[in-house]
Amino acid sequence: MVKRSLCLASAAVLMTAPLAQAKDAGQWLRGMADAVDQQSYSGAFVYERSGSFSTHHIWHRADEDGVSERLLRADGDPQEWVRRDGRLQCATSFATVSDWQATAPQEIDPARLERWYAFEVLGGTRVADRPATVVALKPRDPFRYAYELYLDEDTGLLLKSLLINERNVLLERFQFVDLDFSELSDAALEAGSRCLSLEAAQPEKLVDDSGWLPGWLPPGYSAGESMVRALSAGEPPVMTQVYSDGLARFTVFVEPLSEERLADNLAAQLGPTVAISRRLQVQGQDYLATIVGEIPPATAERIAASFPHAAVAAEAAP
Amino acid sequence: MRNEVLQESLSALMDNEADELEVRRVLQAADQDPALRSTWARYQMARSVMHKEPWQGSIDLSAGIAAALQDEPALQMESEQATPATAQGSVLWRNFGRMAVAASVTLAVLVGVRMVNQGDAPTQPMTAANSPAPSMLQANPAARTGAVLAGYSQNGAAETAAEPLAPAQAPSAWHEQRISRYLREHAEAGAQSNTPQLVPYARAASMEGR
Repeated sequence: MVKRSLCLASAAVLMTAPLAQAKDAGQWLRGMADAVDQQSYSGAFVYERSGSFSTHHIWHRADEDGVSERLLRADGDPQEWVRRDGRLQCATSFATVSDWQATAPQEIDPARLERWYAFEVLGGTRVADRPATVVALKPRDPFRYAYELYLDEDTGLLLKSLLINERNVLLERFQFVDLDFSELSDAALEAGSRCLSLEAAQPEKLVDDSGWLPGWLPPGYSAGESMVRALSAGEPPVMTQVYSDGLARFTVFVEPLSEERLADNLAAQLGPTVAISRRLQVQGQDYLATIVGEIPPATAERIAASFPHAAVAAEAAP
Repeated sequence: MRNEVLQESLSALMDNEADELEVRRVLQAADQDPALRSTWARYQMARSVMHKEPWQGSIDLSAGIAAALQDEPALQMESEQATPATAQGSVLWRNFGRMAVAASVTLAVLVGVRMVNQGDAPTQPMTAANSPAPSMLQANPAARTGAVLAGYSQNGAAETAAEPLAPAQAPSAWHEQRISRYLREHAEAGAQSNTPQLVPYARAASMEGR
C-alpha cells in the first residue's frame, strides 16, 4: 500500500512536469555543486543587474591538486581574481579585501533548501550553445527571492542564473556565453601583473562580545561568520555578522555614531542587494545598524526594526 | 495622448523595447513638446550614467531615429485595447524600467546605489528577460494582469519619474560612503566564500566606484 502523501506528490509532479525527468531538482542541485570540483573549463559569462552590465572570463581547472580558478573582468576597469581551493590568491582593485576567507565553504544542501524553497524542474532549453535543464527554486515564504538555475545537461555546471523578486521582476542575470571543456594549461591560470597578491596584513580582528543581535530573523537563516574590526585605521570597530539560508545571504553591520559620523534611518538598493540602516541608542550612545543582503526589502526592514535596543526616532536626529 | 502613455513609450524607447508605434509616438510628440524633449535628454543622460558610458548630452538622437524609420515599411497599427497578452507583459517591464531610470539619477559613492531616507525602497528592476520558454517570468499569469503595474503607478507617478529622488533629508556624506562600503564588504565576502556559484563573484566584480 502506497502512502497517501506519496500519491499526492507524484500526482503533483505529473501535473507540473508532463515530460518525465530523469533527475529530480534536488539531484540537479547536487550535480551543480559536484561540477565545480569535477569539471575543468574556460568560458565567458555576462552579469547584469539594474544599472550594470559586465562581461567576464573564467578559467577553471579541477584536478588531483584541487581547484584553481582565474577570473577576469573583460570590460571597464580590469579586475582579476585567482583562487586556489577556494582561497583568494590575488585580486585587483578591490576596495576591501578582508579576511573573510575563514568562512566555511558553503555547499548547496538540497535537503536544507527544500524546507524554504519549492523545487521544480521547468524544462529544457539552450545556454551557451549547450542543452540546459531549468530548475526553479520558489520561496515558500516572503523572506527570500526566487531563483532560476540553468544547469548543463551533460556536466551539471551552472550555465545561467536568474534572481526574481516577489513581483516577478528580474533582479539579476548571470549567464555563460561560451564554454570550452578542453584541458587548461598552467599558463591560462597564471595571474596577470595587475593581480596583487594578498599578503598585506589584515586588520586586527576582535572577538565579538558586543551582543548586537537582531531580535528577529527570517526562518531558515542561520548565523555564519562573525567579527569585530575597524574598517580603516583610527576608526571605531564595526560588528559584522553574516546570515544565510543556504542560498540567500545577508550581513548585519553595527557601529557607533558620533559628531563626525552622522547617519539616519535609510533604505538603499543596488541591483538585487538591499541595505537598510536604523539608528539605535544604548546608554546615550548612538549606533547604526545596517542590514545588507539579497533579500526582499520588507524582510530587511523587519530585521532592522527588531533590535531590542531603543530605536531613535528619525525626527529626533541632531 | 495621455502623458503617462507617452512616458511609457519613452521608457520603452530608452530600454530598447519600443515597438515602431511607440517610437513614432514619441518622435511625434517630442516634435511639438519641448518638455518631452528635455525629459528624453535627461533619460539619455541617466542611462549613460547607469552604463558608465561617455555620453555627449547635446547629441539629439531623434533625428537619426526618424530618418531610419522613414525607410521602414508601414507599420501595423494596433489599438491600445487590443494589445495582446505578451505585449502587456512588456508594458509591465517598461514601467519598472522607468523606475530604474529615475532611480539611477540619485548617485551615491557606488555607481547605481539608490538611497532614500526612510520608507520603502522599491526594488530596482532591470531589462526584460528575453528568456526561453521554461521561465517563471513568463509562466506566471500575474505578471500580465497589470495589477502590479497599478500598484506602482500610485507610488511612482509618471510625471515625477524623471526627477531625481529628493528625500526629505539627504543621507550624510559619511553614511553614503558607509553604505557603499557595506555593500562592497557584503559582496566581496560572498565572493570569497567557496560557493559553487560564480554569481557572488560577479556581483562583487560588477561594482564600480564613481
